[in-house]
Amino acid sequence: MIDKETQDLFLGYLEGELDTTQTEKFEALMAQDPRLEKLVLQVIQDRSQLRAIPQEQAPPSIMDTVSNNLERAMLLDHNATSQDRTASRRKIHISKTLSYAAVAAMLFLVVGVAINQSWNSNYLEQSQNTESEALAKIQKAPAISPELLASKKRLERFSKQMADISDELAISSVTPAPHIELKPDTKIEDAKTLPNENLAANNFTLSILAKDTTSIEKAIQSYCLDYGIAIANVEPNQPTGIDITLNTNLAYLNKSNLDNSIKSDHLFIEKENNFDSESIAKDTLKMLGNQDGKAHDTRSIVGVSRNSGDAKGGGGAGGARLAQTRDEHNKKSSALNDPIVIGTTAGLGGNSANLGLDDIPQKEKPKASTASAIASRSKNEKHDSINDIIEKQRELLDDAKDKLASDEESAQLTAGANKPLTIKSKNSPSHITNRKNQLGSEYLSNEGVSILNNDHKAQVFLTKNIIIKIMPWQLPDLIANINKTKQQSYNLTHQTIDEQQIARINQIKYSYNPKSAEILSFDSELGIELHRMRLNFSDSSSLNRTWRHLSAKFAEQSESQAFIIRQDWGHILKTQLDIKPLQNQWDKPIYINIQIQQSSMSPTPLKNEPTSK
Amino acid sequence: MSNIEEKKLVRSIQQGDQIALAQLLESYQQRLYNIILRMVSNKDDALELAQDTMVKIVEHISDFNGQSKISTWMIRIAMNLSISHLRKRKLRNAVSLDQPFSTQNDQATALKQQIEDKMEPQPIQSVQNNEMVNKLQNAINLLEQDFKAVIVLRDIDQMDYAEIATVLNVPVGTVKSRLFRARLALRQAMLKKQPTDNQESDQAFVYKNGVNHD
Repeated sequence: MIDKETQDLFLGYLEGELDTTQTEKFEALMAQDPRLEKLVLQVIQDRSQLRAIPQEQAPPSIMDTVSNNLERAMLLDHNATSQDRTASRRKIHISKTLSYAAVAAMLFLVVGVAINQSWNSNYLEQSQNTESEALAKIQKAPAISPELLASKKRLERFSKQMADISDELAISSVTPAPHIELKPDTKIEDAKTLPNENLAANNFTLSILAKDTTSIEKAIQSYCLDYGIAIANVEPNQPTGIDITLNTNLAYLNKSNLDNSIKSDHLFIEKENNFDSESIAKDTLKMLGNQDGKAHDTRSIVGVSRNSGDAKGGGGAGGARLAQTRDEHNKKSSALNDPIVIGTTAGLGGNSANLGLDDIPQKEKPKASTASAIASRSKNEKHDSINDIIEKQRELLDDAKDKLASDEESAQLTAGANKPLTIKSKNSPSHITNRKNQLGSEYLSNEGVSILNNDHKAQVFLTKNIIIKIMPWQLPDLIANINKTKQQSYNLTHQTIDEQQIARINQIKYSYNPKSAEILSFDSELGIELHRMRLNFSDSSSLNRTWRHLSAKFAEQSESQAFIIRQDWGHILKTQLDIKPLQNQWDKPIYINIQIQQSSMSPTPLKNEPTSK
Repeated sequence: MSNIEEKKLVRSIQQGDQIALAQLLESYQQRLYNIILRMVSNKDDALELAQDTMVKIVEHISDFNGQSKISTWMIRIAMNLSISHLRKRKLRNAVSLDQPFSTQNDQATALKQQIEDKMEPQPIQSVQNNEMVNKLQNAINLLEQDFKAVIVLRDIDQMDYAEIATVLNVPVGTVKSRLFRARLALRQAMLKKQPTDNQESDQAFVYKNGVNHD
């Protein structure tokens, strides 16, 4: 057996990788053994002959057959019986993605025909006379990409095969792509071709709550340019509301209150532990100076958000959400009669987690019209700067603070013979113990003591609406493009869909990766905090596992409990939109109003000095 | 295609760019087909396996993590399918009732005959070229799968050791070791095919130095 060194020399010599010394050494070996020399020469010859083997031309049908399989799988998937479908799937393992891709490719051609026809009929020239701005967009629009041109022949062949199979299977709904002549200078459809009157009927809203509208807007516009999607309208940022979040780090020494309080990162106004959004709204209005609880002429509550106190450790943002609009046409509207928007105020100081809509009772889910209504209401008004709005809000709160002192009903919320005593403190968790000691055990009754750390900040919402015309199958791509912006605080929901246009839209699924969580162990007997730790996690299951472990450990050692009191969320792991238009409507565009809402937090608390009672 | 271009292309594909996917498949179909053809030495099988490879690439492109070159990853899929195909074929042959039990030499002859039967007629080029290709291909077909894989990847596809190691999922040292033995085994197979006066002594040298498998 040849040793490794000789083996390496042998290989190196064949490959020409040896240095001079090694080459001489190996040649000396060969000189000693003529059979080795002969073998080496023969192996070198073998190697050179192997390298000289001509490349076989791949059969042109390789790609055709792959496309054929895709097409067949797609057709079977749409039309076959379930048994046939199962059998076919066993035979043809084609990904769903490619099925969509095939349809997408076909529709590119269909859109191309539409573009070509409209171009030839001088439609754009007519439009040019009326909308010079739109013409600019036409000029900026990219030409059909060379890749598309390159794939034209293949796509035509594919569509022809598809048509043949459609005929064979008597599928009338599949429209073969027509043969068209794509030219490099073919322009993208002008935004003006959008029939505005159809917008209302075919509108479909995607709401995005983000910290930064710019990157999302750029992502959308970039996508639209790349894929020739018409942008119908872009509204400038509109101030659409103010959230005043009485952001409290709340800790209760009351056992009965423990669950509600500790799991809640933020809590607004609490009335005997019962969350009642309407009461909260009324109380808030009272705080703001409107004693009768009805909407003020310049203010209306458009929504109340609360945290999910019973969420599975998920946390949630809370606080009353107020919107201040100055549209005189809406003076008479009563906020309490408006649809109550239950949602999250994600991004509050980076503490908030998103609250899934699934946590909300069905009847309280936001109506699609609400956000749009807000936007339209404020569309024509003079836009105040964020600082102006915050400043005004600060004044309102200052007034409210004065009134609160003389408001007996409100005072009862914080102190009373049989009510929980509320103590406001800057340093709630560590301060609890001190205050508890100061107060003595008499307050550690069943009624408990609660300590609030007020951190009143105003959050101003700006909304931007971008209306685009898009093919249904382009929507998942668009959302993927938006997701690339990977903003820290990001929430994406679809609100409305015209059922005539889209047969099915499954929910957008998104999961978040918690990057860290703060876990607190709390001795419920003594009402004191035992441990507090911040840990990093790779995923939510590891977080929950750790939490259960710590919980069990604490319970075993000191009859205390562990709570996840705060989670900071990392990146979005996955966003998936399963969208399926009616079979014969893949080629019909839908109009999407992408509403991006950006929130801005006031830099300083509105209420600077906490008070203690 | 440069690394950066390749990464851009892969990123586009993973973001759903179907045109880029088609571009990728088209640019590599020739290479993949040839590797597979040299592994299975049958054009029908090679065509079918190349198509399977492409379907697998499409299905799993989202799983590609970029730790290797995309070409390496695709060739790995092709190679795995080819090896799997060869194993199945070997198994089918082994259990075939039509094939009578025979000695080792007879089996080799039967195998060669089988390979020759399965070989497609070559395009009319030069006779010498055809002979050389046939001779080499027949010799390659006589190799064990592992040896065949390293020979095809190194000498026909001209990949470097590291890439071969990635494709075959073995250390580089193993690749070198296999390649060394594969070259000797190929020489041995060539000698079987084309006996010469000195065949005995050459075979003796090859046997002496061992053609063991991992």
